[in-house]
This record gives sequence, structure tokens and C-alpha cells, in this order.
Amino acid sequence: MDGIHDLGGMQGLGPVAHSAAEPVFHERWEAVARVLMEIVAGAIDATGGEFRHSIERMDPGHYLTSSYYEHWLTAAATLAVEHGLVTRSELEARAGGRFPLSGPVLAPAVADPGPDIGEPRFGVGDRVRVREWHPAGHTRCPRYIRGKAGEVVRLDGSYSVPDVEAHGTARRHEPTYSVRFDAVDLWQDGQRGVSVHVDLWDSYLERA
Amino acid sequence: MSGTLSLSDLDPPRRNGELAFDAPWQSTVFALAAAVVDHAFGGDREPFRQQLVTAIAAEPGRPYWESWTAALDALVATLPPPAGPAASRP
Amino acid sequence: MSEDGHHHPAPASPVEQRVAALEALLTERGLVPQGFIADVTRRYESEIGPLNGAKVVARAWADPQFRERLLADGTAAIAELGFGGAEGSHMVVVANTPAVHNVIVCTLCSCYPWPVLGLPPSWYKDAPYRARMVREPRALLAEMGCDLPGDVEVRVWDSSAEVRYLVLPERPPGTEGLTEADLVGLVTRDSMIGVARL
Repeated sequence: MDGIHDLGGMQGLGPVAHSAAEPVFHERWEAVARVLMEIVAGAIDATGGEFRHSIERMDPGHYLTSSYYEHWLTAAATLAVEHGLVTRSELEARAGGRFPLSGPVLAPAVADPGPDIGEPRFGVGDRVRVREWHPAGHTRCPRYIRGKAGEVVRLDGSYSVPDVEAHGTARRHEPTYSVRFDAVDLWQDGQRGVSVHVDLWDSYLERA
Repeated sequence: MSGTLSLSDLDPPRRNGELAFDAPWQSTVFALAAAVVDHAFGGDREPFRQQLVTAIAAEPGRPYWESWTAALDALVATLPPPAGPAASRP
Repeated sequence: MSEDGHHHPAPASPVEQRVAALEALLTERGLVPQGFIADVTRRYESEIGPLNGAKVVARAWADPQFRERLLADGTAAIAELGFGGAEGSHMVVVANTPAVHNVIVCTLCSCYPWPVLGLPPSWYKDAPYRARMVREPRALLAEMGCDLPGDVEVRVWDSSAEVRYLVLPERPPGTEGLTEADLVGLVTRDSMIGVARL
């Protein structure tokens, strides 16, 4: 999904509010929100992809103007409503006001994901290009590398493809790679001596 | 006055799935009703729903949140007055 | 204190009300076991944290063979110290050198090596870091207090799949006489993410 969560390279977001140390949870509600999400995810047997995608589908304005654990709360409530654990009007009545939820899933359920990719199609040192594509559902291919060429630096073993497992019960497993991109190729801004490594699934890549 | 209310007449207005409040007082009466239902009626929404049916039927065409407010007023009027020192203050 | 002598807590914020609403409804559905929230919270607050990663780093500084194993197979070497599990089941450790500086980010969400660093800090999970570290790492590192000479190569690692990363910082000069236990105290969380040098 070309959503607000896909932030790599976005400008205008301001300074990083860094602190060297901070409490794990700033307020009690954050801890509760986190655990409620874990409870909902467990109750509906959500995959990591379905969980992440429920956050990705948040209203962009809400995503950018709310804190991390408010994202988890919103996503937990969304999954709970979508899977029939609670209703939206119950949430609103109990909260005494609006209860913003994430937007709907835009991709259909994956009925036939195709076969597992058993053997890695690429090896260390190979030049690869990231597919120029715009999936409507969950993916772990960030926009800032799509269509860009890089070099495979590491093979990391086979894993379930998030684009598939976030959208139904089907599964497809593929090799994953760490691919190195030169910053100057990504941003055309003259940066030297900077590389960005992104971990990618086999089907995200073509030979360059 | 004709016909019976459909369920959708009782539902609050929404835009894009979100509750639609056009002014702060509307979200206030929503929250107040929720609090009264929670604290004075143990979470049972039926008494408020009945008042809302009555209020909408009494003045069809009245804006939704005004009917909601009338229903809330009527609901609170059915509650016994508070006992104790606070009640005796002017 | 109000005039009737009772202490009234500050009114709940809208997000607190929403959290309470979801908690109440899920509890009524029987989905929240007694004490579960408190138990899980306590685990996140006290059982994992960057001290684990500091021990890994200190061992790598003190023991060159461990360092070799750590860089060859991060998962197995980290497991020698008893650390591993969720969000760390496939670890890759990247070493800083005088010529190379590594830094970790998750542009898409907040992926982070829990078993060695605990839960990530807010700044790592929020939009500005995620947007900027892949685009202008030298400038952002300098802003965060990590000044790198211009000839140092910068490698940014975006944790977009299953691998979780740990930066092995360079051992500070003048620490040759310290024991492994002493070295642990020198290692900061920021240095293991890569936004600081020691």
C-alpha cells in the first residue's frame, strides 16, 4: 500500500526529538494499548502482516499527529471491529465520543499465491532492480527503492511473504536478501560514501 | 405524525464512518449521554434509546443532536434527586 | 484537594478514554485474563533492555574469537549469552571501524532487536527519524551529536524483513585495562543503534 507509513525519504517532518533514555511506557495507557493489541492479534490469529497493515491503513492525518501507541490502539480497535469482537458504536458509547479507526483493506484476499520460490534467484554480488509496482495491500517494499538498482550483499534465508500472509490464510515462502543501494542513485543529490541496505523478498526483485 | 421510525433514524449522523459533530456542544451531549448511561444506568442503553425514540417522534424534522439533547434531558429528569449534603446547598 | 476532602484525579484524555473503552469491552468478552496486562507490562519494562546488547558488545571487545563468531552468525553468538527470541530470531551484527559507520532504521514501522536492546525509544519509531535516516544520514547523525569525518563511509540498514540488526561500536581508546564487566558500562543504547560513537 502506498500509505502514510511508508516514510523513507519524506521531507518536511522536522527534527528528531532525541533523548538518551526514556521510560518504556510514558503513561499507563500506552502499556494497556500495547497489550490490548497483542490480545486482539492473538484472539484473531493475526499474522505479523495483518497486524502491521492495520496500522498502515490509518487516516494519514491521524497517523502523523498521534503517538506510536495511539497507532496501536487504533489498529487494535479496528481489527477487533473487523473481526466481530466489538462494534464501533459500542466503542464510541463507552469512550463517550469519536473512536477513529483505520481505513478499509484495499486489496482482495489472496486466493492463490503461487508456489514457494525454493532456490534463491540471485547471489551475492548480483545487480538487481526493484520492481516498479504499487501493491494496494500490505508490502514490505518501500516506495523509495522501487525501480532502483542495487547489489545483493547477503542472503538471509526463506520466509513467508508479507504481501500474501497479510491477506488471508494462503502462504508463499521466498528467499530474502539484503540489497545495497548507493545514496546518490536513490536521491540524485550528490551524496558520496553513503549506502542504504534494504531487506527484500525474492519476488520484489528483477535482474538488473 | 405518521409511520414508525426506522433504525437508521436513531443512529447518529456519520461522515466517512466517523461520528459527525458540527459543533462542540454536540460531542458534549454525546459524551454526557454516554456517561449517564454508564454511571446511572449501569451501561444499559435501553432507557436512553426509548427517550430518543420519543424525542424524535415528538418533533420529526428536528435536527438529530437537538432531539438527542431533549432525550438526555428527559432521561436525567427520571433520575431520583441526589441525597446528602450536596443536595442541601443552594 | 476539592472542598469535600476527596482527591480527584485529572480527567482522562480522549485517548485514555478510548483505551479504557476497548479494555472494558474486551474484558467483558473474556479476552483479558486477570493480571495479564500488568504481567506483560512488567516484562517489557524490566526483563529486556539494552544491557543485554552491552554485554554482547563487551564480550566482542574482550574476546576476538567471539567477535569473529558474532560477525559471522549474530544469532548463534548472541545465543551464547542466553539472548534470543521474538524480534531477534535472525540477528545480523554490523561492525563499526575507523572507515565505516553503521546505523539502523525501520522506515516502514519500528522493527528493532528486542532481545538485545529491549523496546525501541520513541524517537526511533516516530516519523522524522524514519523519513530522514535513509535520505540524509550524515546530516541527521550530526544533528543527533554524532559527527563523522567526511571520509567515513556510512551504511544505513533499513530493517524491512525478518533480519534484526545490532551495531558493534568501536572500542573506545584507553580502555585496554578494563575487565569485560567494566566494558559493559561503557556501551550505550545509542551506540548500538548507530546514532552515537563511544
